Amino acid sequence: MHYMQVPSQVEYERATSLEHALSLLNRPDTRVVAGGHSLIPMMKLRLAQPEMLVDINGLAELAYIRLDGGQLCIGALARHADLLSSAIAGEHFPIFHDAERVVADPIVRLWGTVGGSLCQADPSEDLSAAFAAARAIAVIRGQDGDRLVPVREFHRGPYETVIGPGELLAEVRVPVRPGTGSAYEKVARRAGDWSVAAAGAVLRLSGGLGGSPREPVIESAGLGLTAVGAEHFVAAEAEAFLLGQAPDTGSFAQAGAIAAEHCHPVADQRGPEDYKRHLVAELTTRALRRAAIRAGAPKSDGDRT
Amino acid sequence: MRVAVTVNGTEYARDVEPRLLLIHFLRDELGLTGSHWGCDTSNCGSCVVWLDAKPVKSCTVLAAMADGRSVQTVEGLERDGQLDPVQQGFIECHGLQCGFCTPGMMMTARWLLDHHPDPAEAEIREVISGQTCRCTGYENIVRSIRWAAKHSRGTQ
Amino acid sequence: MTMGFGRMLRKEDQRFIRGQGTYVDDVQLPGMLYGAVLRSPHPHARILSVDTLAAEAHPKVKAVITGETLKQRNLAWMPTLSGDTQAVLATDKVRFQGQEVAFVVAEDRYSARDALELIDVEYEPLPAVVDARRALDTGAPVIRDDRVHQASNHIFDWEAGDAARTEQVFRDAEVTVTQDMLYPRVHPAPLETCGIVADFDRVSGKLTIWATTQAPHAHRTLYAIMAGLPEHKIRVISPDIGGGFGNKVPIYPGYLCAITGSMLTGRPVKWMEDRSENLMSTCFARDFHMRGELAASRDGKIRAVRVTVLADHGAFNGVAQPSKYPAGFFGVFTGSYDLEAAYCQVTGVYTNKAPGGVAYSCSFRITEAVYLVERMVDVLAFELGLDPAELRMRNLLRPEQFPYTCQTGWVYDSGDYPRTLRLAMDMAGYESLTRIHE
Repeated sequence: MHYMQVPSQVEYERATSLEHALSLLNRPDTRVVAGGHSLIPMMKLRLAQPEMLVDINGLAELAYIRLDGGQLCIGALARHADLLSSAIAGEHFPIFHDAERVVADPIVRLWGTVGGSLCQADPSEDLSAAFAAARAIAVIRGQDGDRLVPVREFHRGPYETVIGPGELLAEVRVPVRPGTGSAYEKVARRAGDWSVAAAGAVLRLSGGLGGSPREPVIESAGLGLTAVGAEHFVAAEAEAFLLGQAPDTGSFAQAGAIAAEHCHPVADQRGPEDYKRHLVAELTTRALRRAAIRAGAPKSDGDRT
Repeated sequence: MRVAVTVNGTEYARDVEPRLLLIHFLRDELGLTGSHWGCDTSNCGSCVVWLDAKPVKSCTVLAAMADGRSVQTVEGLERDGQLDPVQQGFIECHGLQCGFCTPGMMMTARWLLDHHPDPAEAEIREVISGQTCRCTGYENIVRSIRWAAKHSRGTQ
Repeated sequence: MTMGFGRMLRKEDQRFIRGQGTYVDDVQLPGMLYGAVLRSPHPHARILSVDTLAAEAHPKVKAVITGETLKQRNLAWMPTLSGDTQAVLATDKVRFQGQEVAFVVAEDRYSARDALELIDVEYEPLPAVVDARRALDTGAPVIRDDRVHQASNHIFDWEAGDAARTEQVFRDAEVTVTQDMLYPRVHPAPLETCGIVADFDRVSGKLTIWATTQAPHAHRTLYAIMAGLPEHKIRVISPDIGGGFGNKVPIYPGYLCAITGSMLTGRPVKWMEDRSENLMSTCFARDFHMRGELAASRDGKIRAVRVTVLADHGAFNGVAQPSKYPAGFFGVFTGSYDLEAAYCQVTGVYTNKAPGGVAYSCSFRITEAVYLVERMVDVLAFELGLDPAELRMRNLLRPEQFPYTCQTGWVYDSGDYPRTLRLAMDMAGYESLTRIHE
């Protein structure tokens, strides 16, 4: 048994343009390195042994966060710290701020990228659940142009995405709609750690807002779950339940219970299965409550934003 | 491959394997042993240096990725024989015992103070939360950084 | 905040804050080579063969050392600080997961690691003992079959106090409580891992060593024994150290391998372990399975404490402690209380785990002893429905009882325990804390 702690031999190319990157990525066993804070640790353990690395850090055209045509568009090279400090992201989707605040640590967040996290496809990656809850779309760029894949279809399984040879994740987009509130809740064993479990909620309410006499009703619900084996990071059954429900404590508690029942947590060093299910129920409920308040639903005692 | 990196204002060029980690480039190739290696999982931060003026865990970066860029290390904190307030703070407030985590802590502290000259204590604790100290229990590290915030260069 | 006579600034900070400390990995000598250790994936296995040909053929490898190489030089086993022996590199069997099996010496650290993958070891896995409570079962695999007369995994028995008198008190006590507890294995984990630069000069026959060691003199003695060099030909430099906490007291196989590597190649050899190696193979602390018992009167007078301990010492008893007691200072489990009787019995066993036991500032078992007695007092408080602080106040030794000889023979010099407890309770706001809990 030996832990290597240093990577095996690899070739390195720095991409001078997007086209250059895409042509290099056509080769077998060639991987993108951006922040490198997921890939390089795996290379040090020799769990990943690519033949070549394509460094895309110079492709500034992929580093942006902007509103465009009613969508929040996040370039794949946007760093975690950028998303955390982005005012427009925080205004429309506080779920991303909540999630970024608990990803890794402040130094790692300066370098790790949004695109890199999604492409690493770790089952415990917080952004995957957050983007899944927001029903985001991944923009995959190839030599022949772009193809759009919903984030809910982006991951094939642990550490596997639908990105093919000669392709690169260029952007993630999230449609912005009025009446939306969102939140993310995570439990980890120590600062900067992976989730034991986490839940993200994106709610759109109609009625009952801004002084309207009608009671508010959930028009759309997105629920993302992290680290508990939820298919495509989504709590689909709980989402279906919430449609048309009132955004109240009862609905949220029931949604939490449904989410807990339908995920597949595995007992490991982070905790036993029943504890993880308990967390799913509780965190889903809390995320929903905060999302609803942010969407404009009336607060009740003990609620916090 | 040939890698040229400007470190603390001086350009160094070396022939290295592409897989060489930046921390080993600094320590073994350039003899700048002030930055340290303490873990296998990018958790401890004893390797923190600046890459293009942003702190980075240099055990998680290839030297090749730093080619043509600039790095600052603990060796560059002192200027013209004058210690940086962060360095002075760690001395004044007993912010170190064995000293192994200290360079990384100071580089992060210097970056924080450059961007937030008067940080709240919670901000200080948050910014070093990705780095480990096994000796001090962190209290004096926080005090040292607070001291540095209060004593900017030239007012000591 | 005043400290004593005022703040004295540390001299060593001047170099540390400039990044000018000299830790072992900072040492660079001309012609220096780098070592790496191949470790066993199995906790217990016979070694059938070790094939190093491919590793030796690596263009940057200068030497590959195995248990067989060392055996020919009588270096395969070394004495430990507890009178046991420890394998430097495994020969017949591996006895813990992570145990050192081979050592590569190469031109740079990356090549040394690459070459580890080129060594082919054939193992025959054996049943392993990883639960100390199973170590003395009939039919348990004997881990240390290398030791003559070792028919089981038993290392030692040790006792302190008066068994008969303690039993008498337990028989007529109004209340007795029992609690099983595990003080788990803990690793000192200094931020700087262990390592060495060994430089053997063939011409002068002198060995110069930079090592992460808290006990350079003990190291020198052992290196003299192992290398067959007189002590005055060995210089051990203990430079700046990135924390020790006891982890850097023992002598680890990597040190001896680096020394051997230097002797074989005629060049300095550096070996620095990585964090995983440090956690899996170097000296740990604690790992005490304890059954505590406490006898008292119903009104809360503690009369006797009894404890039975199973001590997990891993595959090699490498406990680094200078006391003559195999369980260190565990005898102070009588704590701060006035007892009529006390007795402890400690059994040490081998398991298929990393070697050693407590070292140095891991307190020589005082931590385990204090935990034991204080936990038992809390258990009694719960049983009697008494406030834990109040129960202690009733039982603490009083100032006029000093000097006090406790039931295990230690003389307590002086103290005012009730006042100290009162001060601590006031500082902590104990009364308001207990109100929160109600």
